[in-house]
Amino acid sequence: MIKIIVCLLLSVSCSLLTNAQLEPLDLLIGVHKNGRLADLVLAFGEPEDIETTKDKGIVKYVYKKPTSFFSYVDKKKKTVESSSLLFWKTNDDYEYLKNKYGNEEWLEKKIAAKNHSGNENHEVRVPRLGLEFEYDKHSPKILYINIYTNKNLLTNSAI
Amino acid sequence: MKEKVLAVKKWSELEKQIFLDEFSKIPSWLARYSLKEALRTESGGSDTNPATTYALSKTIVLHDSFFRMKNKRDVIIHEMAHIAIFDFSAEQIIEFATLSGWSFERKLEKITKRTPPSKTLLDDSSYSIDEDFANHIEIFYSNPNKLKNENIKMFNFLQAIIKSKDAK
Repeated sequence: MIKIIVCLLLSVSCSLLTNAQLEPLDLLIGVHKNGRLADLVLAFGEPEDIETTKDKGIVKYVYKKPTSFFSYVDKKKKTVESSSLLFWKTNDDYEYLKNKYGNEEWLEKKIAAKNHSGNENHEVRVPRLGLEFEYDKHSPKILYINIYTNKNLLTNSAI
Repeated sequence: MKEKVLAVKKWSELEKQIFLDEFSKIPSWLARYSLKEALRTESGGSDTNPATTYALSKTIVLHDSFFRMKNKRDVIIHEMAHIAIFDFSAEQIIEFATLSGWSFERKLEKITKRTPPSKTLLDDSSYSIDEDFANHIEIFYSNPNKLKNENIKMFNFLQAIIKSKDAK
């Protein structure tokens, strides 16, 4: 297991290894480096539930431990397309992620906020790692981070 | 994008008294989060936007319309819930969101942002899980029967987590 984890972390980035903390987000980034279903199952085990989707051949692997996340899996190709991870680590998860991945290309833009609780919403994309998330500057806990194997899904988006 | 600047103005003594009186009526577990700052603005606000909260800095901003409203306590409960949400665990919030009907979809290979329930408790609940949470806490106190009738599982869930906060 340790060997697998080290391999996954290595595939994320050498720089991550210098202050590597073994957390699900790092492992998922590693899994999405190549998007192999086998890596997902090696890192997290079999899912708690497998749900069908509207798209033919795509199923949703649902995990609740060690944290709550789900991955869209192409059963035929045995690949993991994308994952969405519940992330709620500190009261300022933006700062936490910025410290952790701030050396990567970090694309950020302000987006319209609709509610009245003083929101100032921003959208962040880290193309090389395939990450995207939104956060509110005045309440910077981040609920969900999406991670993609196909990095073009991020880089093709206007930001 | 042009920034909207909220001009701050001085509190009148009466406004202070009204606010403190209403604040003293909110549930004790919410009051414990305490505000670092309460500001008055020259913005009139509206019936749907009588106050604004900056959760991270624990700041509440009261607009003129707040003082015209009959349900001032409910407004404060709602705003304090935006601060209280920081004190809940990720698992509690995901359970809340699931019970409320938030979901995800996959469209053209992309995972959509959180998709709100088809029927929301209040109109602006669809804005975000955060707003939905504040609305639920507000209605839990102001109109519990509405919540019981519309979503009994949610009512029981909120009752349990509030009880755990009350016990602290």
